[in-house]
Amino acid sequence: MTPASSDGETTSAATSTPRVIVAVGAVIMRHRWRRTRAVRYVIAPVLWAAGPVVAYLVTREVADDFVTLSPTGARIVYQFLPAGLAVWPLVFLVGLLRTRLDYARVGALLPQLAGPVAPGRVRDALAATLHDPRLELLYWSPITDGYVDLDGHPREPVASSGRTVAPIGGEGGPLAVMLVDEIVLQEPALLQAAGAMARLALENERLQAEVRSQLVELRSTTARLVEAGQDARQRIERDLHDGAQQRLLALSMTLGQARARAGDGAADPRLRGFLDHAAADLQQAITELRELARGIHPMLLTQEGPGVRADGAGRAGAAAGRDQRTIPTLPRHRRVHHVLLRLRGGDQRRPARRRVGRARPGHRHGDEMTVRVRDDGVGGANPTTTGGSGLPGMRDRAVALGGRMTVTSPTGGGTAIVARLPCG
Amino acid sequence: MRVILAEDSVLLREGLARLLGDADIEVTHAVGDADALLAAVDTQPPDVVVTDIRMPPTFTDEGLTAALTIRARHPNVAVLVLSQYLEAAYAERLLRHSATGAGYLLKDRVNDVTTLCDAIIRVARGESVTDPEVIRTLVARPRLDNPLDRLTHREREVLALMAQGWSNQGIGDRLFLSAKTVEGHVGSIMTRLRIADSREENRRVLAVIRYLRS
Repeated sequence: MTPASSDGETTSAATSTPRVIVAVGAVIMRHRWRRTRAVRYVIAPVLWAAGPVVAYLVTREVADDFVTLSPTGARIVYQFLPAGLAVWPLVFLVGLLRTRLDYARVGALLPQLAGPVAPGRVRDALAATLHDPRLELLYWSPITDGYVDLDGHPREPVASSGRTVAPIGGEGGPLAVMLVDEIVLQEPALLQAAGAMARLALENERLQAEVRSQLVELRSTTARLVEAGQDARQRIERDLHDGAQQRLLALSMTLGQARARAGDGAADPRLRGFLDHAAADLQQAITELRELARGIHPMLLTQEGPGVRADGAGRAGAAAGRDQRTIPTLPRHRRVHHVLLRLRGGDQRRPARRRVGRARPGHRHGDEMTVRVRDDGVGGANPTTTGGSGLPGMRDRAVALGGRMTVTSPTGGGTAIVARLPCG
Repeated sequence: MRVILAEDSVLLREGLARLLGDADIEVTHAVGDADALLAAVDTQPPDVVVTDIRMPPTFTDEGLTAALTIRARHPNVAVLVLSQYLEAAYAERLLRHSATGAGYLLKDRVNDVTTLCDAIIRVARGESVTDPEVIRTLVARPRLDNPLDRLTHREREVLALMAQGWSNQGIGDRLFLSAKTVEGHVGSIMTRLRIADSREENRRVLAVIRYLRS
C-alpha cells in the first residue's frame, strides 16, 4: 500500500462518511416533523442523544486523518462521548413518560372546566393539552346556524395545510370545532380525551346560557303580563270615570235640585221621603263605584310617583319633605310605583285586620331600592296563597320587575314586608 | 258673583251651570279643558273658578295645575277644585302655598246645592274650604303612634272642624259652644300637638293637614 493510495482511500472514506451521516440526519429530521407526536416525543430525545455520538464518529474519522488531537481533546473524544450512548435508553424512557403525562394533564383539566368557565378558557386549556398554541376553537351558534369565533364573528371551519378540523359534538347537536395541527389525528385517544373534557365544559356553558336566557324570557313575559293587566285596569278605571261616574253625578245633581224644590216636605211628605231615599241610595252607589275604580287603579299613582304614601284607610297622599328628599332620582316608572303604592298602602280592604304601620320611605342603594312596611296586626299573612291579602299580587309585581319581596308574619306578631326593587 | 266653570264631562258641565244659575251665581264661561279655562280667566277674571281635576289631554291633574297657575297669576280669583277621588295629596298641593281663597271639595257635593254654593261663597270671601271627608279620613287614619290619641273627644271634634276651615265662631255654632270655649280648645290642641299657634284660619288648616300627614 503506497502512501498515496493509502491517502486516497482514507480521503475517500473521510469524505463519504460525513455525507452519509448528513443524509441520515436529514432523513431523520424530515421524519421527525412528519411523524406523530408520540413518535416525536419518544424518538426526539433519542435523536438528541444521538447527536454526541454522531459528533464523536465524525470527529474520530476526521481527526484521525487530518488533525492531531491534543491529549485532552483525545480524552474527550475517546472517553466521554461514548458515555452518551449510555444515556440513550434513559431519554427514551423520558419520552414515553411525557406522553403519559399528556393524558394525566387531560384529567387535570376536569376540575378547571367543571365550574363556570370564562370565554376563551376552554380554548387555552385545549391548546395547552394538545401542545398546539395556534389551536382555534369555533363555537356552534344556533342563532346563525353556523360556527362563530370567540368574538362572535361567523367562521367557516376549513382544514388548511397541516391543520385539521376536529368536531366536538354534544348530545343536543354540534357544540364546537377545533382547528388544530393535524398531527393530533395520530393520537386519537388524546384527542378524544381532550374533546370529551371540552364537551363537558361547553355543554355546561351552554346549559347555563340556556337557563339564563329562559329566565330572562320568563321575566320579560311576566313583566309584559303585569303591564298588560295594568293597562287594562287603567282603561277600565278611565271608562268608569268618564262614563258611569259622571252620569251618576249628573243624576245626583238633578236629584239634589229636585229635593231642594220639594222643600222640607210640607207639601208632600211621601214625595220628600222617596227623594231622600233615592238620594241616599245614589250616594251609596257613587261611593261604591268610586272605591271600586280607585281599587282598580289608584289615580294618584300616575301623577305623584313613588313619594306617595299610605294614609287613612289606605288612601295615598303626596309626600312631604323627607320622602321627596330621600327618593329624588327614582325614575318615574309607574310599574315600580305601583308596587310601592301597594306596599305602602298595605291591605286596604281590611283596615281592621291590618293596621298600616311605619311605611318607611324607600332607601336607595345603587340601582336597588328597598321599601319596608311593618304593621302591628294579627300576623299570619301568607304571601303564597291567594286569600284577599293582595300579597301574592304584590310579590308577582316585584318579581316581574326583577325585584323580590319577603314577608315575615308570625301569628300574632304583626307583618313585615321588605321589597327590593331595581330602579336603575 | 261671577264664576268660570271647567269640567270636561258635558253632562256635568251643563248640569252645574244650570244649578249655579238657579242659585243666582252667574256662570260667565263653561269650558271643557285647562287651556280654555286659563284663556277665559285671562280674558275676563271671575270671582271664583270652579274646576274639575281630571281633564284632557292626559286626564290626570290638569285642573289642579291650572288652578295653581290661576292662583299665581290672579291672586284675586278664588278657586274651588272638585275632585272625583278623595286624595289628601290634591288638597295639600292646592293649599300648600296659600290657603286663602282656595277650596277642595269632593265631586259628590254637587248633589247638595247648599254645600256647593256655600263653598263657592266662602272661597270668594277668601276663606279656605276642605272637604269634611278628607279631614275625616285623615283623622281616622290608623297609625301605630297616633298623635290624636293625646286629644280629648271634644278636642278632636274641634280639630276636625278647624281643619275644614271654620273659624272659632263657626266651630262654636256647630258644637253649641261659645267662641271663647272653642278658643280654649284650640289652644289646648295646638299645645298637645305641638303646633305653633296662628290666628290665621287657613294657616291653621294647613298646619293641621301637614301635621296629620307627617
